[in-house]
Amino acid sequence: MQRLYQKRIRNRVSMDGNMKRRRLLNRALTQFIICVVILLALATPVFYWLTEHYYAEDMIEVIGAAQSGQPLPAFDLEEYIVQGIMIQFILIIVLLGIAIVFTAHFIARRIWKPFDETLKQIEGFRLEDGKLPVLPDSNVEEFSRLNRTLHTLMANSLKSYRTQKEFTENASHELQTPLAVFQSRLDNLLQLPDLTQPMAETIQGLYQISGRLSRLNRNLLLLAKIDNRQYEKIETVDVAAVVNDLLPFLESLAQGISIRRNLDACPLKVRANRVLLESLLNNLVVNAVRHNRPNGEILLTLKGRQLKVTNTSDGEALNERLMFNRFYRPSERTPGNGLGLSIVKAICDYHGWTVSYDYKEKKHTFTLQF
Amino acid sequence: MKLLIIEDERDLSQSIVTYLGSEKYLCEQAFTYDEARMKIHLYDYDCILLDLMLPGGNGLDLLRDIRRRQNSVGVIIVSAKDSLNDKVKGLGIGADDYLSKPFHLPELSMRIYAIIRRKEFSANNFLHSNGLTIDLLSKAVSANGHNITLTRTEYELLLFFIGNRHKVISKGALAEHLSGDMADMLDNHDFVYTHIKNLKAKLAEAGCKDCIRNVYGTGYQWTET
Repeated sequence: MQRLYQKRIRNRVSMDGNMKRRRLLNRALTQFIICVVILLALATPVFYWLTEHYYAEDMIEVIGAAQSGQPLPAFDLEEYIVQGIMIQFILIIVLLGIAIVFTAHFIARRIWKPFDETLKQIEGFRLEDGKLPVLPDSNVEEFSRLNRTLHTLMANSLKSYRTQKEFTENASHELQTPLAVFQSRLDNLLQLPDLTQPMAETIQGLYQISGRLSRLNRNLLLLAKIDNRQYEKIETVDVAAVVNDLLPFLESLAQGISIRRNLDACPLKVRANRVLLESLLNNLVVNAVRHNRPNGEILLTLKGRQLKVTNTSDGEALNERLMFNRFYRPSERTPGNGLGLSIVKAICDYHGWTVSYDYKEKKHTFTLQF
Repeated sequence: MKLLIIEDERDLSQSIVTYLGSEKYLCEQAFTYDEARMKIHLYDYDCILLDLMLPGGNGLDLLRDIRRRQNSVGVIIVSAKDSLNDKVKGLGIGADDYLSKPFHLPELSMRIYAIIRRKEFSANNFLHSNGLTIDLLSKAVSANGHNITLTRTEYELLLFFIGNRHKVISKGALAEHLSGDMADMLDNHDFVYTHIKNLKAKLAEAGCKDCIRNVYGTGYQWTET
């Protein structure tokens, strides 16, 4: 990837080398002068006709009369000359005006066209897409420089964005093996024949830590993989069927909290990655179990293209601005690692769904709009 | 039973040997691609644990090598990369199972047990322990001629215990075995307790008392008398 990109840059540079580039000011000035010359050349017959018609004829007549000693013709030569010169003067100004307007309007637009295109390209640039826009080459030196600089800038941002994303994933992968070692040693420790109560308690504490670590790691890995778009398999999934499949197990977790469902009769089919959809629903329901009050209630409602997960709670409303942030936990007593809702959000964004939150009468509601 | 553990992380390999070695398994280790290749060519094994990322080569190539020679050995892939692609590829080439790191040793032991049972006793679909008879095909459990009706979770638990007989299994390992992919979200393993309590009560009712021992609230053990 890196090599390909460098090669592309080299290609661009060599391409630029072949092209004759000039500065913007020079180019505009040259084109303006050419425009004026063409206009004046076109106007030459008019000037000729004006000169002849207004004073050249009369002057020849006057000069002829004066040479032959005849009386001067009876007309006001002075007035004709002033009139003619004024008309020519106005004509010149009009021509210059036309040249200026023409240059400003058409020529400038033509010269600035590559700039417009560059703007259009970079307006559509998003780091997340991972696509580098191809900027048009330009024969104007400033634009060419601008394009080159922009290209380097975007390529570098893209590179560091990619590196950062890959780092999260690689780091999570690398952590899996030491975690496996840690966990397997604990499994062996538990087999010791002369295990005592305090030892067992210590081992239990270590198990909890290793469990927390591996959960955290797997959740981070899931987020990184969603970010890196590694869940390519999209199929048509019946949401109600997925809910019904997951519910028995979720109910066994709920421990005293009742889960009710109110699913629309007509099936809702969505295009989704099944693994992610299951993860999304699991996260929402597990969340609803965790933040419930004892003997509380969870209600799953599927209506139209909307799925609502409502749970009773003793707590406060969540901060809507922060709740989807990674590692956000409203208080230190909040269970979980603070990644659940960011996973929900990431999965929704991945499929182009929206998730919204509402708090009414001590009930938290999350609404998914497919 | 002969096992080959192909894993470059020596600590992990050693832990696996320690856990499985105390059962009836004879474990051999390979730490690199070449070493593993040599051992596969020279000896016959009942089950192979295969790490995909090995120094000197890719585990999938080893798997291809094993299957090309019509070797019907059971293969469990153990990988740090729990990507769906690797899993699909591995199972496609002919792996019998796929386990992503980190895993609990009882889980590994249970899967090895299942594979060896399938390969060795393909005609025999009954498991016996402590006077219990488990019909693996119809998933029916009986003791002393009486049928015991178990829920799916309780049946899974029972098989897990029997696959790890005499071992102390931590609550976390039980919880992960029962919840599968969902385990990533659970930080509370109390639900295991409820299932075990129910299973114990049903077994006791059928005359199998004290099969499951609670070890200081940290784990549970299936004891055979």
